[in-house]
Amino acid sequence: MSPLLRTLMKKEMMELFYSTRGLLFFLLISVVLSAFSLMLVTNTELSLLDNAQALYMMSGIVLVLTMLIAAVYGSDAIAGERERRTLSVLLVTPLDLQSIVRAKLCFVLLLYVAIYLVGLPYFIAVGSSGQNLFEGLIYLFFLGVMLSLIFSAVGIYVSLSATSYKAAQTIMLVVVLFSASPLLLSASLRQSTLGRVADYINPFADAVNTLDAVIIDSEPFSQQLVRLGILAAITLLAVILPLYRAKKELS
Amino acid sequence: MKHLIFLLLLVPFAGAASLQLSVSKPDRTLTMGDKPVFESVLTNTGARPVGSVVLYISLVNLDKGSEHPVDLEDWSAQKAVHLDRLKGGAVSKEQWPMRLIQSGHYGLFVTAVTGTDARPVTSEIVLFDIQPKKTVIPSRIWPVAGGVPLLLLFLMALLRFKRLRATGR
Repeated sequence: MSPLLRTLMKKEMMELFYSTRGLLFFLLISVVLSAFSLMLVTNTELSLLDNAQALYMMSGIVLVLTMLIAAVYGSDAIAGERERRTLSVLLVTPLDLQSIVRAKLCFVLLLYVAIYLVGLPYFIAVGSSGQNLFEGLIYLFFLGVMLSLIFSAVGIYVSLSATSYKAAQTIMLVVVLFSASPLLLSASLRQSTLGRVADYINPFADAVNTLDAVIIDSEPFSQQLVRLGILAAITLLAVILPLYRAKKELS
Repeated sequence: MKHLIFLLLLVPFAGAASLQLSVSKPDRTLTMGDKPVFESVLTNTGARPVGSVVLYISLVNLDKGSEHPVDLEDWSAQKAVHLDRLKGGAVSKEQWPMRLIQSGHYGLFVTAVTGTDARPVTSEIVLFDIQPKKTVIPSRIWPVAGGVPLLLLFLMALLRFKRLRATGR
């Protein structure tokens, strides 16, 4: 990684991790997870699956937040810099647009790791007396990595072509809303052929369905291969899109 | 003629009457998380074979005041068995593995339905208790639920303090 690229990453990290606003965001995540954990402690009629259910729901919360943050950050990545008139400053450095896109993607990954680390003590406290904690944590980590890459990359792609940050953000919020359809649609609607296809091509649905299958239904890795394969392919495609677009803009 | 009509009326029930069904539970204390195997025995006591029999298990929670049938989705991967044919005098033993999800007082029974008989055959209810098991350890959750937000609040306060000191206010 070039020193300039490292400086750019550092700037992004300082803005988030060393600001009260950035920490407030992590505080909110921890408060939501605390509320969930306490609901579990105060429930006196627990079944064997309630830990797993709580772990699954907490993982879902982390994934939703990751998706939302990656989308908002991605939409701000270029359009925001352009509006703040900082993009031209960045472009006069030896950094090209492709490197900036790469640095932004790396930062979103770091952001996800930070969210995951905030959630980790909760997952262990709740899930250690239940089932599939270890498997759930491994799957959650990789699913979160893929989702953060997909939504930030799509956000950056939209950001590259949008006329304003507001326009890019609006488009990305619609994308997030569509992606969150598994949370809005009933199970019976999702059981139809169209619903199943939509579930397979929706990366967020793939992620939550995989977590459901692994944490609650204790399904083996072999049964997750189709969904994970689709997710990996979407991730690859999503990452290539803004990098290709940035290269094209350069030429 | 009267006798013939009477016999013809009995024919539809002949199949149902020839099936006998019983179910047994494991002889040990059952606790949440255990995976006991229940066994059912279906006997065709008649001379005629019985075709296409569907056997399925049912579980009822019998806790006073909250009696309800249990959805077996998480409890059992094998909820029904299909037998193509059961010869006269033959016995079919089926095993019903279960995972005990929630504590309480329960009743389990097996039902056999044939394509030809109007009445299903049901076993007697096997009653059993599932002992509770601690699934949540509050001493692990409380410190995390309170500690992580407090730690982040402390970090926020520290940052603010550092910034105020740096600006000299």
